[in-house]
Amino acid sequence: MSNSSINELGIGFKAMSAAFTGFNESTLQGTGLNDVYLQTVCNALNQTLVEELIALYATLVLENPDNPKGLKHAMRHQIFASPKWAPLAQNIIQLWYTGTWNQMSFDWTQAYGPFFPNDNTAIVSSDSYKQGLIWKAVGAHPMGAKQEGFASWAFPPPSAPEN
Amino acid sequence: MDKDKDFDVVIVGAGISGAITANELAKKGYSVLILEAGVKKSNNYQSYLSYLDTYYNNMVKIPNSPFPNNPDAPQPLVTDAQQIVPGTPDTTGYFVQNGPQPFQSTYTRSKGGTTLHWLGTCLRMLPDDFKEKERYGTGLDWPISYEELMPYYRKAEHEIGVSACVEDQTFHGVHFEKDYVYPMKKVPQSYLDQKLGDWADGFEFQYEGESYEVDIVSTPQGRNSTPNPNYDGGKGYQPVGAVGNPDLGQRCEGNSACVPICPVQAKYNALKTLKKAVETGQVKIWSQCVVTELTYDTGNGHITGVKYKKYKNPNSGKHKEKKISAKRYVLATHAVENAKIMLASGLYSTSGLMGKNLMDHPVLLTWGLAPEKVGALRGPGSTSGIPTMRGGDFRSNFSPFRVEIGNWGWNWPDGSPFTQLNEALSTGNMFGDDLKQHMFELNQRMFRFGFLIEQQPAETNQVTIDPAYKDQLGNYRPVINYDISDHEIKGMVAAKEFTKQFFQAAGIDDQTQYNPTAPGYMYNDGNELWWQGAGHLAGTHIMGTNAKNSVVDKNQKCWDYDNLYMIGCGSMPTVSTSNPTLTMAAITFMAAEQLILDLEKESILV
Repeated sequence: MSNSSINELGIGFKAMSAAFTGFNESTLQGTGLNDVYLQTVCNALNQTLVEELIALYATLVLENPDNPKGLKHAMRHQIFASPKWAPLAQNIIQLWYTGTWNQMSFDWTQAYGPFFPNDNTAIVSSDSYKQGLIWKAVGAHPMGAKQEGFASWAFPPPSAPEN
Repeated sequence: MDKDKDFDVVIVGAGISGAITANELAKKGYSVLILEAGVKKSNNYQSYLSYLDTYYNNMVKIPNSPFPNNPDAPQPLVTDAQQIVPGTPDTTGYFVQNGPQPFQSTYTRSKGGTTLHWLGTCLRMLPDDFKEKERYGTGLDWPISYEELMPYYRKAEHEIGVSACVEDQTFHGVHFEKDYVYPMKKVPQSYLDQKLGDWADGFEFQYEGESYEVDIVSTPQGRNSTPNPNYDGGKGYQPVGAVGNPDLGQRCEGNSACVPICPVQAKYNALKTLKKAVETGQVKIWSQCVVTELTYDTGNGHITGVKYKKYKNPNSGKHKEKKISAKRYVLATHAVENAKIMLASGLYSTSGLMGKNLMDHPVLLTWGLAPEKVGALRGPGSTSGIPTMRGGDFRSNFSPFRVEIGNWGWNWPDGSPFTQLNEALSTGNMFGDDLKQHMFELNQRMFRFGFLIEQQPAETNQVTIDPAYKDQLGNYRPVINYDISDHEIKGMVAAKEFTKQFFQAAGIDDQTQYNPTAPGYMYNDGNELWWQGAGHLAGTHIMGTNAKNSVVDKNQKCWDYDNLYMIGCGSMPTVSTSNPTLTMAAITFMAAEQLILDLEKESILV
C-alpha cells in the first residue's frame, strides 16, 4: 500500500473510528496512532475489507445528514448488527481502546478470509498501550504511564470523560 | 581460588535482605560477594526502563510481567496456579504442587528481588503478634519482642524510606519512641479512602456477640512522599530517587502501577541499597550464578563453600560449575529457595523443620460499586486500610485479618477496566459515546477490599525436593504441599460478614462473584470463599529459642551450622497481619549486627 493511499484512507479511518469509539477526531489524531492502526488492520486482514467498511460508514454518513440519531440507528443496523462488520468494528474499537489487535474468530475468518496469515493477537507497541483510549474513557490514566502527579489521587475524579 | 579467599562473606541473593546485609558489612570494611541467579543488569536507569517496556508489551500484566522468564533461574507465576486434582501433582509452572490447595504466591528471581514488584506496604507487626501462642494459644511465639525490635524497625524504615504518620499507627498496642516520626509524611489518602471514611463513620462490626469499632487508617508505605523536617532530631530526610537517575522519583507521581513496576522508582526497591553497597568498593555482585548447594565439613559442621552454576545465556542451559569459599555464608534467596538450597545440600535441621511452616497471607477479595464516583485507577495501589480485626481476643477462635482498601477498581479480582470493555462490546452491544459513558460511569464507582488473613504455621505446609523434578540447569524445582486450615477459613468467613455489614452501612452495591473453577475457590458451610496469594512467602526456616524448635536463632544464624545465616521472611515463625517486608528488613539489620560481631570476634582470635 502506498503512502498516499494510506494517507487518504487514514482520513476515512479516523472519521469512522471517532464514531466507533466515542472520541473526537482530534483526540484520535493526538494519539499519533491513526495511520499505524489503519496499517495494523490492513496487515492483519486485507486492505479491501477495510476500504469496504470505511466506504460503508461514509455512505451512512451521507444518508443521514445532520441527523445523529439516524446515523446511530443506521450504524447499529448496518455495521454493529452485521455478522460481517460487527466483529471487525468491535476489534477496531478494541485496538483504539487497548492498543491490542485481537485475532478474528475462526468462523469469521472462514467466512470472509478464508485465510489471514498475519492475523495474530498482539499489543501493537509500548506506545499503543500508553495511548489506549480506555484510560481516558474511565477518567484515569494508563497504569504505569502518563502519571497524574503527587497527591492527584486525593482529589475528586473528573466529572466526565474526555471528548 | 586465591582471589575467592578475598571475600569475608558470600551472600546468596541480591534482594532486599542480601542488599541490607551486604551494605552493613561493607560499612564495617568487610568484603562481600553477592551471587545472584538472575540475568546481568547494569545499574543505569535505561536498563530498568527495559523492564517497563516489557510490562507495556505484555498481554498479561501479572506481578512478574516486567521480568522476563529465565529458564536458568525460573520463577513462579500467579497464572500457573490451578485447582489441584487429588493425587496428581500439578507441574504446570515452576513449582510442583502437591496440594491439596495450590500455593498461589510468587517471587522474582532478578537483581533487586521481589521488591521490584512489591506494593511497598510497611506496617509494623503488633506487639501481640510476637507472643501469639502465649496470648491466644495459636501459632508460635517469636524469640524476640516488639520492644526489642523497635530500634531495628527504625533502621528498616530509614533504609526503605517509609512515609507514614505515627499517630495513625498507634493501634492494638503498637507504640513508638517518644518524638519518633517517620522519614516522610504519610502518603495522601485517596479520594476513595476519604469517601469510605465518610460513609462508614460510626460503623461498628458486629460479630459473634462482640462489637468492633471500625477506623479507616492511612497505611505506611515504602514510597516517597513529603520529607518530614522533624525526622532524625530535626535533620530531616532526603528521599532516594531512581537508581541511575536520582532526580526522578523523589515523590510518588501516581503511576498506578506499583505492582508490578514503579516507572520512576519512587517506590523503594533493593536496587537502591545495592547501589550504596557497591559504591563502598567492598561489594561485588556476580549475576547469572545460580547456587545449587553448600558444602560442609561433617566433622565440625562448618559450611566450607558454595557451589554454583554460571550460565552465559538464559536460553541455552549451558553453564560452568564453580565453587567459592568465604568466612561466613548468608542465604538470602527468599523463603522457598533458601529451604530448597539447604535440602539440596543435605543440610537438614536438628529440629526437622527445614522447609516446613511455609506461610502466606491468603487474600480474600470482595468488591462493589460505590453509591457515587470514587475515582478508581488512580494513585498507589492502596493508601489506607482497616486495622480493626488485626488484633483481639477473637484470635484464639479465628484468624485475624487486615483490610486493604484497593485504589484500582476491580483490576485485581476481575481485570477491570478491560473486562468491562469486553462485556460492553460482546454482550452490551455498545459503541461510540454510549460505550465511553458506560465505561466511565461503571469504572468510576468500582472499589475492592482485600482481606489479608493470617495463616498459621503448619509443618505440613512445606517445601521439599524430588529428583524427578529439575529445571533446565539441573537444579531442583520446589515441590510444595499446601493447605488452608479451618482457623483461616473461619477468618475468611468473618471477612465476608465484615464486607456484608460494611457495604450495608456504606450503601455499596456488592458485586462480589467467585468462579468455582478458579484456584483458591472454596465452598464452606454455605459460604462461598475465594482466596489468592499475597506474595508474602514466609516460614520454611523459622527462628526460635533452641535447636529443637527452630532452624535459626533470633539473629537468623543456623543452630546447626555456625558460620551460616539464613535470612529473610523464611525466618519468621508467624506471618501476622502485616505485610512481611518491613519486619524482615528489621530482623535483617539484627542479623547483620550479629554477623559483624562474629567476624570481629574471629579477627581477634586470629
